[in-house]
Amino acid sequence: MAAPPTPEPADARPPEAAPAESAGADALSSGPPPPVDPEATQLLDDLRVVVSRRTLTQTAAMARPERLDGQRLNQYIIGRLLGEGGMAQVYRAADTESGRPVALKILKPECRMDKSICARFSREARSMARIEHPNVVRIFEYAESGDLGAIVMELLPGGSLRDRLLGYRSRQTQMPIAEAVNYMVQASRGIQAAHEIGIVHRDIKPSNILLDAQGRSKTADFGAILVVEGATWLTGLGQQIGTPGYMSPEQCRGDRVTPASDVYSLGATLFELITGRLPFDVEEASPFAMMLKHISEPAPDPRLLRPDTPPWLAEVILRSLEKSPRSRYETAGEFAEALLAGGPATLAEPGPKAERPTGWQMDVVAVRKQLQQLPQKAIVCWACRCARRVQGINPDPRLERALGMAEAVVAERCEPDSRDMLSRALVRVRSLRAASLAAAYPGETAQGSQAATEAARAAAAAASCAAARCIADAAADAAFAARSAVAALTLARKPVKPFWQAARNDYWKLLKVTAGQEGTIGRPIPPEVFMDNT
Amino acid sequence: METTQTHLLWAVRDTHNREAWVSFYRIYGTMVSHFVRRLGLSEAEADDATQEVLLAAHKSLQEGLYDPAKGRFRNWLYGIARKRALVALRARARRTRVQSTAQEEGADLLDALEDKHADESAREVWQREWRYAILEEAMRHVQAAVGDKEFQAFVLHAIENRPVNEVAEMLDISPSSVYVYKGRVLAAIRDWAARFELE
Repeated sequence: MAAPPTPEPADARPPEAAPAESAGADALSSGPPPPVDPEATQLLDDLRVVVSRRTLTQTAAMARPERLDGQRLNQYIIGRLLGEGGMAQVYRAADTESGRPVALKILKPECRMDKSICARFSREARSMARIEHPNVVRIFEYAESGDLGAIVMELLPGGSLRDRLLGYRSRQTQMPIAEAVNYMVQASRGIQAAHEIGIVHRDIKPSNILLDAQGRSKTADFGAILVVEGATWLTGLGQQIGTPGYMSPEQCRGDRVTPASDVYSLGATLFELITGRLPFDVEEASPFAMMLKHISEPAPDPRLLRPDTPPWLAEVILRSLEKSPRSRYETAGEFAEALLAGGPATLAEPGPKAERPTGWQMDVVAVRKQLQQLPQKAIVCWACRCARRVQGINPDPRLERALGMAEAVVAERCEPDSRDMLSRALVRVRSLRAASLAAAYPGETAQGSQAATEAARAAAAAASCAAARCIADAAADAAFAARSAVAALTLARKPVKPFWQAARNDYWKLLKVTAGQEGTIGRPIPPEVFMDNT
Repeated sequence: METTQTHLLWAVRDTHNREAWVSFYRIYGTMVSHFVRRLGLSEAEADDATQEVLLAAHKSLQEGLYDPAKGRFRNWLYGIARKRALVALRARARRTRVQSTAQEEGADLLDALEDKHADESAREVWQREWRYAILEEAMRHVQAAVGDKEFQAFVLHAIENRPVNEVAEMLDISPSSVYVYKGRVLAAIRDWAARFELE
């Protein structure tokens, strides 16, 4: 343990400083354990939790050197880190003035020192603010406070195309071609808008194309842009900017970059969306080897990797991946037009999504409507999962209601097969619940009696449901549950009258319903057990 | 330094009081974040939820929407936090539904209808997190106020349960001082927590 920097008069402080305590202490060091104060024990236990959590947070903080979350920058409260690139981090943030969520792009601490990076950063902000297009991420302002500067942008909840790709990959499927083309048409239009005011993006790739809530794609991260004014290219000459997997040959060589370079990157991006692979994949993943291939090797036909690629689309991609800028589409707009011309039917822009009722909360009608639209298999599948899960003591009554509703809907329109399956699941749910209720509350308290009564009721309902559909095994389950509940009630010596009566009524009902299946459910408990208590 | 909750809640209404905001965020943020995580939110979701809850609370404090006469601040905050956690759980259900196949889809949608945690247990979690948050803050203040050795003696002996003689040797103090220090720090933490909770 590290010694404190200031000399602590530990030894200098004599035990007499607190005579009573130290006397006790001396006795304790050899004698019997101290008397236990339950409050102090509890306090210590709680403090142990706090200390262990502290250690965890500290370890986490060490793993992430700088976290800005929780801090304020002007009117923005910085939230969690959404992602980071080479130079900057993007945080979610809340604007306390308007209340809307935004994204803040902030330079990493090690980059804040570098003047050229800072200059590029503020240039990015200015350039992006000039582009107003639905397919380009909107910039609200450049916020500055102290040495911290942030580009305030619209927050796009849909993630990036890279996330989409990874999503498909993890499910071992490929992105539908229409979807890929649709994203790229939109992204290209955004790029075209940038080209029109003399801005070349230079770093187009799936992770820089973001999706909004409606699935519209928007180009982001103009950190590598090149500003074109007239015929003069103002750039950091000789700087290698871009991502090797998507870089045009001229970019790889360090030559002049034009809008056609962006077309190449758009093509490479589309290639990856469709085939799931980069046009040039090198095994050792060396950026240099990759760049060499961009310069010298002809791009492969996407149909080799994905046979259902329409021929016209393969042609569009290959033309955009031509080595010579002059052989490609001249602008991103042309690229978009070519994509649109190819597959008219598949390329409709996604309209605003139909409003789906969101919460179960209050809107029972809406939920019912949703249930009716669902494939019946889905409902049955869900009910079965519930049956497995609802074994706790405190299942939500809303779950019960939802189940009931599912049952009604399925009964309306399902084949007998799935209806049976569902009924079985429902009965299981109810009886498991009843059994666990009964087991958890032996009925010795008023609360316990109530729980057991509820259990008995639920079990009775389950049994009647099973009996009505002649599902013998489910009825047996339910009967078992009902009996556990009733037994729990019987054990209780201080019953609360109304509960008893309710339970007894349900029990009688159960007896009636299951009368025809006595062999299956075993001998009923004689009703006398209730009598002496009522 | 705000030493009572009432004082802190009053101070944080001033937008320029950075220190109050930091304390506010530290105490209530930790609590809300642990709480929503316990309700099943992922780390990212929990961070977002925490931020929004605190923002909402801050705004309400500024606008005077929270009325101390009507109940404790932590109960009021509980309502906000719980609602926000449910929103996040539903949103997740919707999101997964969009991305999954039809059959799973229905199952996920319907899962969203369940509220996995009964209100009662959520409230218990909340109470516990409240206690932890207060103790954490108390420990932070006491640590700053007492000597380093005193605090170390407390941590090593009381928290880590190390034998007195070992602690005494590690810190180069007498065994009886270990007891004294431990008692002193523990009492200070308890007092601080009790004082803070006085509303």
